[in-house]
Amino acid sequence: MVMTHYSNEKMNHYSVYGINISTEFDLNELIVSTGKTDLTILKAKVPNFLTGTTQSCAFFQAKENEFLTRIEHVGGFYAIEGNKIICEPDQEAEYMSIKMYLYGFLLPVILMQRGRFPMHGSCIDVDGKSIVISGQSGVGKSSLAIAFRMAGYKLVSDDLIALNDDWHDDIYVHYGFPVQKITVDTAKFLNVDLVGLERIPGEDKSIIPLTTEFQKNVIPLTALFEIVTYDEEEVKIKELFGGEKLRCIIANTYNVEMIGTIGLAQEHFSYGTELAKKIKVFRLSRPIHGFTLEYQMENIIKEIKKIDV
Amino acid sequence: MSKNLELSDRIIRREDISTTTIDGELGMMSEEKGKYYTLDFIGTRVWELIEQSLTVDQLVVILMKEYDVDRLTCEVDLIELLEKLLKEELIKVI
Repeated sequence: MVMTHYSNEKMNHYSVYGINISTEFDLNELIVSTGKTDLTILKAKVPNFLTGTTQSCAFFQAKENEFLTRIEHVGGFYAIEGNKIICEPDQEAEYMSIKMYLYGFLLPVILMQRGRFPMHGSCIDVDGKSIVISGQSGVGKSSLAIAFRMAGYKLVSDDLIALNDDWHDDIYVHYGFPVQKITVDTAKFLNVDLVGLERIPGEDKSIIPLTTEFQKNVIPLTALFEIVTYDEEEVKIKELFGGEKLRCIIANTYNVEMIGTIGLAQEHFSYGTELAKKIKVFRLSRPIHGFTLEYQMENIIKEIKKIDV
Repeated sequence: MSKNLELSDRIIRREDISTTTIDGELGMMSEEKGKYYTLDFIGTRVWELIEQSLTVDQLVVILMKEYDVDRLTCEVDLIELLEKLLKEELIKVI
C-alpha cells in the first residue's frame, strides 16, 4: 500500500481544460474546483538533464512522457506523464512570469502527454453551439472574439482550446481561464478601457477578468473558423473540405511546431484527422483594411444557424 | 537528389508514410520529418496508383485515360507533383 504524505503546506484545487489540479501554488486566475485530482503541480528541485532523451533542442528536452525545460530568470519546469509538473522557480523570478509559463507552456505539454492536442484561438458560445476562431497571429482573431463577447456572447476559452477526451457521443470544449487577453492596439481599436487591468510582464497585453461573460457549461463544438485577410472589399466565408480542411485543423493546433520535437507527430496526425471528421471548418476572408467585425460576426452566426446539432 | 525526373523513371510510394482520407482527399504525414502534407483529388489518385511501381510514362497514360487532359499538360503537372513528393521523400525512384 502506498501512502502519499504532503506537508502542512495548504493545497489549492482548481480546474481548467477539463483537468483538476492540486497545487501548493496560488493560481488565482483559475476556477476553484474540487474533483478527483488529475494533475499535481509541486515546488521542488527539477533534474538538470533527462537521460535517454529522444528529442532535445535549445531550450527543452523531451522523451516519452517526460518534458524538461529551463527558462532563464524564471525557473525549471518538469512535466511527467501528463499528471505532474515540478516547478523550481529562480530566486529573482517574478511570480506572474512563472504562472505565464505554467499556463502557456507546461499545461499544453500536459495536455499533449495526455493525447489531447489543443487548438489555438478563441472559443465562443454562439447560441448553444461553440465555435473556435483561429488564424495566424495578427489576423484579428482576438478582436473578433472580444467583439463577440461585447455583443453578449460568452467566452469558453481564450488562446488555448482543449477538447474533451472521449468523442464517442459528443465533442465539446472544456472551459479555460475566465479571462480574455487584449493588446493595446486591439483595445484602442475597440475602444476598451485598460485602466486598472493587470499587465502580462514582457508582453504588450492586459488581462480582462470575466465573470458572467464566461461559459462554464459544456457546449458542443460545431465549427472552426479560420480568419484570413485578403485584398477584396467584402467579408467572404467558405466551407473547407478534404486536404484544405485537414491542413486548417493541423495548422491551428496550439504550439504545432513543437509537437514533432516532443515525438507526438503521429498521435497528432490521427487526432487532427478524427477532428476533421467531427466538425465543420470554414475560412473567413476579411478585407485587410476597414472596420468589418460586425459583418464577420454576422457571417459566422449565419453559418452556425444552418448547422443542426 | 536534385536530378529531374524523366518519363522512363520508375517510382513507387514509400511505405512508412501515414495517410488518411478526408472527403476523398489524402492527408499524409512523414514521422521522420515531422511534417504534414495534403494532396488534391488528382494527387490522391496518383498516390493510389503508385502503390505499385510505375514509370512516369505509364502514369501519364493512365491519367490521360481517366481525366480529360492533353499529354503535355499532364506530363508537366505530373512531373511537378512527383518532384515535390520526391523532394519531401514521400516517394522513391527505383
